[in-house]
Amino acid sequence: MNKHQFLEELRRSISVLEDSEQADIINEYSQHIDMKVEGGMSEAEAIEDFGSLDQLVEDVLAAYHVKAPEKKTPSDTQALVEGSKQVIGAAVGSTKRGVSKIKSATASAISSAKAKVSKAQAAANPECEPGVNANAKTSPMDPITCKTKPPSGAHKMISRTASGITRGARSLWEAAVTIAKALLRWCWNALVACIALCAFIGAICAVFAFGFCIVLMVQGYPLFGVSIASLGLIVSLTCAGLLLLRFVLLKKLEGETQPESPAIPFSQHSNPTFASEVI
Amino acid sequence: MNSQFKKGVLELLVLESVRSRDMYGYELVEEISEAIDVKEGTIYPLLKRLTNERYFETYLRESTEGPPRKYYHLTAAGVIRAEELRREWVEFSQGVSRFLKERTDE
Repeated sequence: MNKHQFLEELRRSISVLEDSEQADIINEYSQHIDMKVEGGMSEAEAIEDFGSLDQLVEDVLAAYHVKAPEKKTPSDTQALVEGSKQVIGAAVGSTKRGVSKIKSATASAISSAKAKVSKAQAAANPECEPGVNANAKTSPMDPITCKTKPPSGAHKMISRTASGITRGARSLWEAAVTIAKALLRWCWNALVACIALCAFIGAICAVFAFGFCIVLMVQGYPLFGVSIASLGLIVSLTCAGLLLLRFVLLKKLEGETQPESPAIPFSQHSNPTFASEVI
Repeated sequence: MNSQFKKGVLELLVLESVRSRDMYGYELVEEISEAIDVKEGTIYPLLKRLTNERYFETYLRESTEGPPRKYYHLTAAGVIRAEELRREWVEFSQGVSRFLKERTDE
Protein backbone atom coordinates (compact mmCIF):
# COMPACT_ATOMS: atom_id res chain seq x y z
CA MET A 1 0.00 0.00 0.00
CA ASN A 2 1.50 3.35 -0.96
CA LYS A 3 0.90 6.71 0.65
CA HIS A 4 -1.80 7.78 -1.76
CA GLN A 5 -3.78 4.58 -1.30
CA PHE A 6 -3.43 4.71 2.45
CA LEU A 7 -4.63 8.31 2.70
CA GLU A 8 -7.52 7.62 0.32
CA GLU A 9 -8.59 4.65 2.39
CA LEU A 10 -8.27 6.64 5.58
CA ARG A 11 -10.29 9.53 4.17
CA ARG A 12 -13.07 7.17 3.13
CA SER A 13 -13.17 5.59 6.56
CA ILE A 14 -13.44 8.88 8.43
CA SER A 15 -15.85 10.52 6.00
CA VAL A 16 -18.39 10.93 8.83
CA LEU A 17 -16.23 13.68 10.30
CA GLU A 18 -16.34 17.31 9.24
CA ASP A 19 -14.31 18.19 6.16
CA SER A 20 -11.90 20.42 8.04
CA GLU A 21 -11.21 17.69 10.61
CA GLN A 22 -10.71 15.12 7.87
CA ALA A 23 -8.22 17.39 6.13
CA ASP A 24 -6.45 17.95 9.43
CA ILE A 25 -6.07 14.23 10.12
CA ILE A 26 -5.01 13.43 6.56
CA ASN A 27 -2.48 16.22 6.67
CA GLU A 28 -1.01 14.93 9.93
CA TYR A 29 -0.56 11.38 8.63
CA SER A 30 0.73 12.54 5.28
CA GLN A 31 3.37 14.67 6.98
CA HIS A 32 4.35 11.78 9.20
CA ILE A 33 4.87 9.52 6.21
CA ASP A 34 6.84 12.22 4.42
CA MET A 35 9.18 12.57 7.36
CA LYS A 36 9.64 8.84 7.63
CA VAL A 37 10.52 8.72 3.96
CA GLU A 38 13.01 11.55 4.45
CA GLY A 39 14.56 9.53 7.25
CA GLY A 40 15.30 6.75 4.77
CA MET A 41 12.21 4.54 5.07
CA SER A 42 10.00 3.43 2.23
CA GLU A 43 6.36 4.55 2.13
CA ALA A 44 5.18 1.01 2.69
CA GLU A 45 7.31 0.59 5.81
CA ALA A 46 6.16 3.90 7.18
CA ILE A 47 2.55 2.89 6.70
CA GLU A 48 3.18 -0.48 8.25
CA ASP A 49 4.34 1.26 11.40
CA PHE A 50 0.86 2.70 11.84
CA GLY A 51 -0.53 -0.77 12.45
CA SER A 52 -3.80 -1.92 11.01
CA LEU A 53 -5.94 0.69 9.32
CA ASP A 54 -9.11 -0.56 10.97
CA GLN A 55 -7.63 -0.10 14.42
CA LEU A 56 -6.38 3.32 13.41
CA VAL A 57 -9.78 4.42 12.17
CA GLU A 58 -11.39 3.07 15.29
CA ASP A 59 -9.02 5.10 17.45
CA VAL A 60 -9.51 8.25 15.40
CA LEU A 61 -13.28 7.98 15.57
CA ALA A 62 -13.14 7.17 19.27
CA ALA A 63 -11.33 10.48 19.75
CA TYR A 64 -14.41 12.25 18.38
CA HIS A 65 -16.80 9.98 20.15
CA VAL A 66 -15.53 11.43 23.38
CA LYS A 67 -16.41 14.87 22.16
CA ALA A 68 -19.92 14.01 21.05
CA PRO A 69 -21.64 14.03 24.50
CA GLU A 70 -20.04 17.41 25.30
CA LYS A 71 -21.70 18.86 22.23
CA LYS A 72 -25.00 17.28 23.07
CA THR A 73 -25.72 19.04 26.32
CA PRO A 74 -26.37 22.53 24.95
CA SER A 75 -28.39 21.19 22.04
CA ASP A 76 -30.64 19.34 24.48
CA THR A 77 -32.01 22.59 25.82
CA GLN A 78 -32.24 23.87 22.28
CA ALA A 79 -34.31 20.85 21.38
CA LEU A 80 -36.54 21.56 24.35
CA VAL A 81 -37.05 25.13 23.21
CA GLU A 82 -37.64 23.97 19.65
CA GLY A 83 -40.15 21.42 20.88
CA SER A 84 -42.08 23.97 22.89
CA LYS A 85 -42.03 26.31 19.91
CA GLN A 86 -43.47 23.58 17.75
CA VAL A 87 -46.19 22.79 20.27
CA ILE A 88 -47.15 26.44 20.51
CA GLY A 89 -46.97 26.81 16.75
CA ALA A 90 -49.32 23.86 16.35
CA ALA A 91 -51.68 25.35 18.91
CA VAL A 92 -51.65 28.67 17.11
CA GLY A 93 -52.24 26.88 13.81
CA SER A 94 -55.22 25.01 15.21
CA THR A 95 -56.58 28.28 16.55
CA LYS A 96 -56.26 29.85 13.15
CA ARG A 97 -58.00 26.90 11.58
CA GLY A 98 -60.79 27.19 14.13
CA VAL A 99 -61.07 30.91 13.48
CA SER A 100 -61.28 30.38 9.74
CA LYS A 101 -63.97 27.73 10.32
CA ILE A 102 -65.95 30.15 12.42
CA LYS A 103 -65.48 32.83 9.82
CA SER A 104 -66.77 30.68 6.99
CA ALA A 105 -69.65 29.51 9.16
CA THR A 106 -70.55 33.04 10.17
CA ALA A 107 -70.20 34.20 6.58
CA SER A 108 -72.76 31.68 5.40
CA ALA A 109 -74.88 32.45 8.43
CA ILE A 110 -74.67 36.13 7.63
CA SER A 111 -75.72 35.60 4.04
CA SER A 112 -78.71 33.54 5.12
CA ALA A 113 -79.39 36.09 7.82
CA LYS A 114 -79.28 38.88 5.29
CA ALA A 115 -81.82 37.10 3.17
CA LYS A 116 -84.03 36.69 6.22
CA VAL A 117 -83.44 40.27 7.23
CA SER A 118 -84.56 41.58 3.89
CA LYS A 119 -87.64 39.40 4.21
CA ALA A 120 -88.24 40.53 7.76
CA GLN A 121 -87.70 44.16 6.86
CA ALA A 122 -90.19 43.79 4.08
CA ALA A 123 -92.64 42.16 6.48
CA ALA A 124 -92.18 44.09 9.69
CA ASN A 125 -89.83 47.02 10.21
CA PRO A 126 -90.15 47.51 14.00
CA GLU A 127 -88.06 44.34 14.56
CA CYS A 128 -84.84 46.05 13.55
CA GLU A 129 -84.62 48.58 16.31
CA PRO A 130 -81.09 49.79 16.84
CA GLY A 131 -81.28 49.03 20.57
CA VAL A 132 -81.72 45.27 20.06
CA ASN A 133 -78.18 43.96 20.20
CA ALA A 134 -78.93 40.61 21.76
CA ASN A 135 -77.26 38.65 18.95
CA ALA A 136 -73.98 40.48 19.42
CA LYS A 137 -73.47 38.38 22.53
CA THR A 138 -74.17 35.04 20.89
CA SER A 139 -72.02 35.64 17.79
CA PRO A 140 -69.45 38.34 18.27
CA MET A 141 -67.73 37.62 14.96
CA ASP A 142 -70.37 39.15 12.72
CA PRO A 143 -70.90 42.88 13.07
CA ILE A 144 -73.40 43.08 10.21
CA THR A 145 -76.25 41.25 11.94
CA CYS A 146 -76.37 43.75 14.76
CA LYS A 147 -79.81 44.97 13.91
CA THR A 148 -81.59 41.62 13.75
CA LYS A 149 -82.11 38.60 15.91
CA PRO A 150 -79.73 35.81 14.93
CA PRO A 151 -81.36 33.30 12.66
CA SER A 152 -81.54 29.78 14.05
CA GLY A 153 -79.46 28.48 11.11
CA ALA A 154 -76.49 30.53 12.21
CA HIS A 155 -76.81 29.13 15.73
CA LYS A 156 -76.63 25.58 14.46
CA MET A 157 -73.65 26.29 12.24
CA ILE A 158 -71.78 27.96 15.04
CA SER A 159 -72.44 25.16 17.51
CA ARG A 160 -71.24 22.60 14.96
CA THR A 161 -68.01 24.44 14.26
CA ALA A 162 -67.60 25.14 17.95
CA SER A 163 -67.65 21.42 18.74
CA GLY A 164 -65.04 21.05 16.00
CA ILE A 165 -62.68 23.48 17.57
CA THR A 166 -63.17 22.42 21.20
CA ARG A 167 -60.35 19.93 20.83
CA GLY A 168 -57.95 22.61 19.64
CA ALA A 169 -59.29 24.95 22.27
CA ARG A 170 -58.63 22.43 25.02
CA SER A 171 -55.00 22.03 24.01
CA LEU A 172 -54.76 25.78 23.79
CA TRP A 173 -56.36 26.13 27.20
CA GLU A 174 -53.39 24.57 28.96
CA ALA A 175 -51.00 26.88 27.14
CA ALA A 176 -53.23 29.83 27.98
CA VAL A 177 -53.28 28.87 31.66
CA THR A 178 -49.49 28.82 31.85
CA ILE A 179 -49.35 32.14 30.02
CA ALA A 180 -51.95 33.61 32.32
CA LYS A 181 -49.95 32.39 35.29
CA ALA A 182 -46.78 33.97 33.92
CA LEU A 183 -48.60 37.23 33.22
CA LEU A 184 -50.18 37.18 36.67
CA ARG A 185 -46.80 36.58 38.25
CA TRP A 186 -45.34 39.41 36.24
CA CYS A 187 -48.16 41.74 37.24
CA TRP A 188 -47.77 40.73 40.87
CA ASN A 189 -44.05 41.40 40.71
CA ALA A 190 -44.66 44.79 39.12
CA LEU A 191 -47.20 45.63 41.84
CA VAL A 192 -44.83 44.62 44.62
CA ALA A 193 -42.04 46.59 42.98
CA CYS A 194 -44.33 49.63 42.81
CA ILE A 195 -45.16 49.30 46.49
CA ALA A 196 -41.46 49.00 47.28
CA LEU A 197 -40.80 52.14 45.25
CA CYS A 198 -43.53 53.99 47.18
CA ALA A 199 -41.96 52.83 50.43
CA PHE A 200 -38.60 54.19 49.35
CA ILE A 201 -40.11 57.51 48.35
CA GLY A 202 -41.87 57.63 51.72
CA ALA A 203 -38.57 56.91 53.44
CA ILE A 204 -36.92 59.81 51.60
CA CYS A 205 -39.80 62.10 52.63
CA ALA A 206 -39.41 60.91 56.22
CA VAL A 207 -35.69 61.77 56.09
CA PHE A 208 -36.64 65.25 54.94
CA ALA A 209 -39.27 65.59 57.69
CA PHE A 210 -36.79 64.35 60.28
CA GLY A 211 -34.24 66.98 59.30
CA PHE A 212 -36.94 69.65 59.29
CA CYS A 213 -38.13 68.64 62.77
CA ILE A 214 -34.59 68.58 64.17
CA VAL A 215 -33.93 72.08 62.89
CA LEU A 216 -37.21 73.35 64.37
CA MET A 217 -36.55 71.51 67.64
CA VAL A 218 -33.18 73.25 67.98
CA GLN A 219 -35.02 76.54 67.56
CA GLY A 220 -37.18 75.67 70.54
CA TYR A 221 -40.29 74.08 69.02
CA PRO A 222 -41.68 71.05 70.93
CA LEU A 223 -41.21 68.56 68.09
CA PHE A 224 -39.35 65.78 69.87
CA GLY A 225 -42.17 63.25 69.44
CA VAL A 226 -42.63 64.05 65.77
CA SER A 227 -38.92 63.72 65.00
CA ILE A 228 -38.76 60.36 66.79
CA ALA A 229 -41.80 59.24 64.80
CA SER A 230 -40.20 60.32 61.51
CA LEU A 231 -37.00 58.47 62.45
CA GLY A 232 -39.10 55.37 63.02
CA LEU A 233 -40.79 55.92 59.66
CA ILE A 234 -37.42 56.13 57.90
CA VAL A 235 -36.26 52.83 59.33
CA SER A 236 -39.53 50.96 58.87
CA LEU A 237 -40.18 52.21 55.32
CA THR A 238 -36.64 51.41 54.20
CA CYS A 239 -36.88 47.93 55.70
CA ALA A 240 -40.27 47.34 54.11
CA GLY A 241 -39.02 48.50 50.72
CA LEU A 242 -35.94 46.29 50.89
CA LEU A 243 -37.99 43.29 51.98
CA LEU A 244 -40.46 43.72 49.13
CA LEU A 245 -37.68 44.24 46.62
CA ARG A 246 -35.92 41.11 47.81
CA PHE A 247 -39.16 39.19 47.44
CA VAL A 248 -39.52 40.34 43.83
CA LEU A 249 -35.90 39.61 42.98
CA LEU A 250 -36.08 36.13 44.47
CA LYS A 251 -39.23 35.41 42.52
CA LYS A 252 -37.56 36.62 39.36
CA LEU A 253 -34.59 34.34 39.90
CA GLU A 254 -36.94 31.43 40.37
CA GLY A 255 -38.79 32.39 37.21
CA GLU A 256 -35.55 32.47 35.24
CA THR A 257 -34.68 28.94 36.22
CA GLN A 258 -37.95 27.67 34.82
CA PRO A 259 -37.78 26.71 31.13
CA GLU A 260 -41.16 28.31 30.44
CA SER A 261 -39.78 31.78 29.85
CA PRO A 262 -39.12 31.42 26.10
CA ALA A 263 -42.75 30.38 25.60
CA ILE A 264 -44.15 33.64 26.91
CA PRO A 265 -43.75 35.85 23.81
CA PHE A 266 -45.59 33.34 21.67
CA SER A 267 -48.39 32.90 24.08
CA GLN A 268 -48.88 36.59 24.54
CA HIS A 269 -49.67 36.90 20.91
CA SER A 270 -51.78 33.76 20.75
CA ASN A 271 -53.72 34.73 23.85
CA PRO A 272 -55.97 37.44 22.35
CA THR A 273 -57.05 35.27 19.44
CA PHE A 274 -57.88 32.55 21.91
CA ALA A 275 -59.85 34.84 24.16
CA SER A 276 -61.96 36.17 21.31
CA GLU A 277 -62.67 32.69 20.10
CA VAL A 278 -63.63 30.78 23.22
CA ILE A 279 -66.84 32.68 23.81
CA MET B 1 3.60 -5.53 25.57
CA ASN B 2 -0.04 -5.67 26.56
CA SER B 3 -1.88 -3.00 24.57
CA GLN B 4 -4.28 -2.32 27.43
CA PHE B 5 -1.33 -1.34 29.60
CA LYS B 6 -0.10 1.03 26.95
CA LYS B 7 -3.39 2.74 26.31
CA GLY B 8 -3.67 4.07 29.81
CA VAL B 9 -0.04 5.14 30.14
CA LEU B 10 0.24 6.67 26.69
CA GLU B 11 -1.84 9.68 27.67
CA LEU B 12 0.49 10.39 30.58
CA LEU B 13 3.56 10.09 28.38
CA VAL B 14 2.12 12.36 25.70
CA LEU B 15 1.09 15.02 28.21
CA GLU B 16 4.42 14.89 29.99
CA SER B 17 6.52 15.16 26.84
CA VAL B 18 4.62 18.19 25.57
CA ARG B 19 4.82 19.75 29.02
CA SER B 20 8.55 20.42 28.72
CA ARG B 21 8.32 22.06 25.30
CA ASP B 22 5.88 22.46 22.41
CA MET B 23 6.20 19.70 19.85
CA TYR B 24 4.83 18.70 16.50
CA GLY B 25 3.26 15.34 15.88
CA TYR B 26 6.13 13.48 14.31
CA GLU B 27 8.60 14.66 16.92
CA LEU B 28 6.29 13.52 19.68
CA VAL B 29 5.75 10.13 18.11
CA GLU B 30 9.51 9.65 17.75
CA GLU B 31 10.14 10.54 21.36
CA ILE B 32 7.47 8.26 22.74
CA SER B 33 8.23 5.31 20.50
CA GLU B 34 11.79 5.50 21.80
CA ALA B 35 10.53 5.01 25.33
CA ILE B 36 7.93 2.32 24.73
CA ASP B 37 7.14 0.17 21.77
CA VAL B 38 3.98 1.73 20.46
CA LYS B 39 2.18 1.74 17.15
CA GLU B 40 2.69 5.19 15.72
CA GLY B 41 -0.85 5.40 14.42
CA THR B 42 -2.33 5.32 17.90
CA ILE B 43 -0.67 8.53 19.02
CA TYR B 44 -2.37 10.84 16.52
CA PRO B 45 -5.89 9.92 17.58
CA LEU B 46 -4.80 10.44 21.16
CA LEU B 47 -3.48 13.91 20.30
CA LYS B 48 -6.76 14.62 18.58
CA ARG B 49 -8.76 13.54 21.60
CA LEU B 50 -6.63 15.50 24.04
CA THR B 51 -6.96 18.56 21.81
CA ASN B 52 -10.73 18.09 21.69
CA GLU B 53 -10.75 17.86 25.48
CA ARG B 54 -8.83 21.17 25.64
CA TYR B 55 -5.70 19.70 27.17
CA PHE B 56 -3.75 20.77 24.09
CA GLU B 57 -3.73 23.89 21.97
CA THR B 58 -2.37 23.70 18.46
CA TYR B 59 -0.71 26.28 16.24
CA LEU B 60 1.04 26.15 12.88
CA ARG B 61 4.68 27.14 12.52
CA GLU B 62 6.68 27.33 9.31
CA SER B 63 9.51 24.85 8.98
CA THR B 64 12.65 25.16 6.92
CA GLU B 65 11.88 21.93 5.12
CA GLY B 66 8.40 21.03 3.87
CA PRO B 67 4.96 22.40 4.82
CA PRO B 68 4.18 24.21 8.12
CA ARG B 69 4.01 21.93 11.13
CA LYS B 70 1.27 21.71 13.67
CA TYR B 71 2.68 22.23 17.15
CA TYR B 72 0.99 21.05 20.31
CA HIS B 73 1.07 23.16 23.44
CA LEU B 74 -0.10 22.02 26.86
CA THR B 75 -2.89 24.18 28.35
CA ALA B 76 -3.42 24.87 32.04
CA ALA B 77 -6.06 22.13 32.07
CA GLY B 78 -3.49 19.85 30.45
CA VAL B 79 -0.95 20.58 33.18
CA ILE B 80 -3.51 19.70 35.83
CA ARG B 81 -4.44 16.55 33.97
CA ALA B 82 -0.77 15.57 33.64
CA GLU B 83 -0.20 16.08 37.37
CA GLU B 84 -3.25 13.99 38.16
CA LEU B 85 -2.20 11.16 35.86
CA ARG B 86 1.35 11.23 37.18
CA ARG B 87 0.11 10.93 40.76
CA GLU B 88 -2.24 8.14 39.82
CA TRP B 89 0.51 6.32 37.96
CA VAL B 90 3.02 6.56 40.82
CA GLU B 91 0.45 5.32 43.27
CA PHE B 92 -0.61 2.53 40.96
CA SER B 93 2.90 1.37 40.01
CA GLN B 94 4.08 1.48 43.62
CA GLY B 95 1.09 -0.57 44.64
CA VAL B 96 1.73 -3.10 41.90
CA SER B 97 5.46 -3.42 42.63
CA ARG B 98 4.85 -3.77 46.38
CA PHE B 99 2.33 -6.47 45.65
CA LEU B 100 4.70 -8.29 43.31
CA LYS B 101 7.61 -7.97 45.75
CA GLU B 102 5.58 -9.54 48.55
CA ARG B 103 4.75 -12.48 46.28
CA THR B 104 8.34 -13.09 45.19
CA ASP B 105 9.66 -12.85 48.79
CA GLU B 106 7.29 -15.53 50.02
